Amino acid sequence: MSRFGIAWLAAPATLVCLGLFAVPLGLLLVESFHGAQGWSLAGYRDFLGSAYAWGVVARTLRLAALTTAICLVIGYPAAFALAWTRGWVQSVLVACVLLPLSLSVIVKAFGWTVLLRANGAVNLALMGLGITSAPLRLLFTEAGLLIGIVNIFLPFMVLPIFASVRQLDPRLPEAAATLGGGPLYCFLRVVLPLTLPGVIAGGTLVFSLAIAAYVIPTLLMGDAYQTLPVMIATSFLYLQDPMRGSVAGVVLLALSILVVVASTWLGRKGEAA
Amino acid sequence: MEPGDGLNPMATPEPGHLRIAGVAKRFRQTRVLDDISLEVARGEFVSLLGPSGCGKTTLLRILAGLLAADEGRVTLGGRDLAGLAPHRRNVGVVFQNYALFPHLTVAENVAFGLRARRHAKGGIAARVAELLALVQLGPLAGRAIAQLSGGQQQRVAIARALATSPDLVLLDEPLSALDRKLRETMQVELRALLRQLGMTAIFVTHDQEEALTLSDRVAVMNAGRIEQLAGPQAIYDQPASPFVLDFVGQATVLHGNVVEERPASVLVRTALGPIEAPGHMLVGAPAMVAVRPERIVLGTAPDAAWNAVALPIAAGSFLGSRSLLHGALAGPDRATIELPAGKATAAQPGTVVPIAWRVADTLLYPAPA
Amino acid sequence: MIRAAGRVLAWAMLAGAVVFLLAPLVVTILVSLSPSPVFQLPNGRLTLGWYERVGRLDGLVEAVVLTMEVATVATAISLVLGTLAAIAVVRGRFAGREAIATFLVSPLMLPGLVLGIAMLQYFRAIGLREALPSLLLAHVVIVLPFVMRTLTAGLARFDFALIDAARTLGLSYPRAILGVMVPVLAPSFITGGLFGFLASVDNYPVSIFLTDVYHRTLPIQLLQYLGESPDPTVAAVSSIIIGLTVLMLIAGDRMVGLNRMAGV
Ligand SMILES: Nc1ncnc2c1ncn2[C@@H]1O[C@H](COP(=O)(O)OP(=O)(O)O)[C@@H](O)[C@H]1O
Ligand SMILES: [Mg+2]
Repeated sequence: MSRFGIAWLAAPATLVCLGLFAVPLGLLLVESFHGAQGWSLAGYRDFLGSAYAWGVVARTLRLAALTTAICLVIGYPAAFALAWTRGWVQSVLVACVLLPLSLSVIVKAFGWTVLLRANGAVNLALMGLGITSAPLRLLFTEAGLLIGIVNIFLPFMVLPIFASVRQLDPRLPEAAATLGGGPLYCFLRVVLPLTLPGVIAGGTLVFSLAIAAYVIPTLLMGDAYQTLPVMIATSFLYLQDPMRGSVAGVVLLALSILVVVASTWLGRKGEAA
Repeated sequence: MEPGDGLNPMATPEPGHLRIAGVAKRFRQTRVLDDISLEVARGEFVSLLGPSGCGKTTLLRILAGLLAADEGRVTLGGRDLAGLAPHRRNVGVVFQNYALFPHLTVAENVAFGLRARRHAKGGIAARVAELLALVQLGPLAGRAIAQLSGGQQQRVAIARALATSPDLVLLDEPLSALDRKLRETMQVELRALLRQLGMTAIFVTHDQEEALTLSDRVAVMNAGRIEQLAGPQAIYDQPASPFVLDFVGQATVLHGNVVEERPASVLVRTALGPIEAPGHMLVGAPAMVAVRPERIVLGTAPDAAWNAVALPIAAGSFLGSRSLLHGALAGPDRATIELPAGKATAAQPGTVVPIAWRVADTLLYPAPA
Repeated sequence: MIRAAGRVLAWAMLAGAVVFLLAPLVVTILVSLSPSPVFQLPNGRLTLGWYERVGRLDGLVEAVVLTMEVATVATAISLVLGTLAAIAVVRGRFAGREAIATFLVSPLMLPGLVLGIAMLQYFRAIGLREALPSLLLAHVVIVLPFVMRTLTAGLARFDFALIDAARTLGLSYPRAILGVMVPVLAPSFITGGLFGFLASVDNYPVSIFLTDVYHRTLPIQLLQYLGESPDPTVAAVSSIIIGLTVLMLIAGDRMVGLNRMAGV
């Protein structure tokens, strides 16, 4: 088969994706301009003119940014330690990272409500370690939400970084060391740039998943805590206000696409450097 | 440079075991192979020697059936291979980067062809053991490919290609990834092994020394054509074209014009003076004369059967047992002399030394445009 | 000094991450064994009673069957489509192949809720009102990105000379592809398939828009049970799924090695 002929192999998947999500999203975009009295920009005017809506957007972005940052702080070093292990130990640890994906997000959320109670395991651990003296209120707080949401998305940070750490040539840091670089210099100039693709992949994934998270915020915070996905769901499912929902959907979609584009651009820049 | 003796142990090699006639291949606009014709006898070891990109791999792929030729015919053992899929050809291939199956062990790799051809289980085990013993890998049968060194992977690739007793084995630069020392050991082993099995082999390399050492015959390729097909000695002593002269070994090369035609030779005026060379060319034609470095001696011509010139020396390089001296010449001319190490001290850089060589050793070519 | 501190930090984070990641699983299993009728950790006594109730819970078995059906079919379709597309993107030399690669993995990065609403409106517009085909189509879009991601990464590292080698050793072209590419890329197939399958099984935001009263996927059913009464039966079901996944992971480890599998 010629290398041109090969292009056709992508046709079925591309058609399926065009038909099943590109066109529907396009229709949603059209819908967002379609008010009760015909075409209008009213939806966007209302949305962009509302301090409340801006607050929701800011809250969504802050939640995603915090989630990504915490996942990175835990996941980056953990991925290194994971890559240092060998044999069955590594298999078991990888299984520990994969296995949580099998537990429904919904059940996990209920698990966390058990753990985050005033007399739950988290508070007992904090007090046992002497970090706090009295039980903290964690349930229905942003701290509790962050614990739950990081718990769900952490594997998506660890695994891509793990993959990039494993591809590191172990001789490279050694070579840098022989050239007179101290450990910190060697890390910043050799190890970090080489593992950056994993960080970008994991960060993009976690950020995109976190701005779209719906189940966890509603279960751990309730509907009063409005993020864009929660706003979309309430608009469509309870308020029967498809225009507001569509506009919020388009805004969320635009943010997601922005993240993907930015990460692709970052990845290219990383490759070129 | 020690050209191989080119002796074939088979007393009467069956001619035309593999016949390649007028094979051509084009990728888009570019002609990658142009009218390739070659006959290889059963048990013969023929090298394809040429620079990177000259079409060696393309020719091997056509022989293996992985690529269809645009023109020409290939027959193997009298059978026309046209349209015959690779798996029906019984041609063994050692790929450039070995292409060993990473998910299989050493023994499973060697057994792959036998399993594919649905040999009996017991027979497969015996044959695999035999081949692993042959390439001295018996103890590593159960190893994963990733745990082997480059040289060991190379042996597995050879054992895998030979396991099905192919009618022809194609080796695509099998030694180029190895370091020099290992490469020399493997050359000897590989040659002995193929000879022992009486295997017909086409060996691709861009290393002229390797080609000359190993082969019964060498086909020197350039830009999709075979420039010369001959035994190693003939390739070295009588290069058919300036390209072969240049690609194989070193030479002193002088350009000029034919000034006189004699019964069996011509006289060419060069920057170093008139040079006599055997052959025929018209007076006035631009010509190029050449001579191999070790044919040159220091001193003046003992008689008229020698050419003699005075050569300004630019630099010398010491090679252990011998030394090379390089002349200080302008334009496309160049001069290289090979001397036993002791004698080279006489010719210091900056001096002009008298040198001489036999007219019979002089090579004559029309000057390339 | 710095190096030692870095190592200690890395090991501590790994240990912490494992404990943290497994915590909700442990809680779920403990709750499923607790005699308390609400979601609570056991204090002293254990019971298997909730597991007996699993079969009797209204609509649960149907939800599990539907969810598995949808996930299996969607994963199978995605593996075929994803493999073909990944080959095209990795091996092809046509303009726009990077754009196609990005396009095909993008549903993973797009908000599920928005996808779900958009699909609902679109399916209505084209007259598709059946829940089952709607779910199947939507879940192909959910699974495909996982398969694409792992397979493009796997194929980029795949040495296509292996197929040539297999052909010269006696396999026909189709047999060579099946006999070499499939086992060598098995880690990618298994990883992509497993991730996609689990994502499909656990999908709520897309499915919620496409289900009807008779076709409820497991997450939707679970949320309904938990909303009515946080009943440990749900924990029992989840524990069974965790157990099954452990078996899948062991099988995956036996087949290709878990550490080779994890390249998402
Ligand atoms: N599939 C192909 N499509 C287009 N050009 C090719 C292809 N394969 C090889 N070529 C070109 O054909 C020429 C010969 O290639 P090859 O046979 O691999 O050379 P060699 O093995 O002698 O280095 C090169 O210029 C190469 O770029
Ligand atoms: Mg080649």
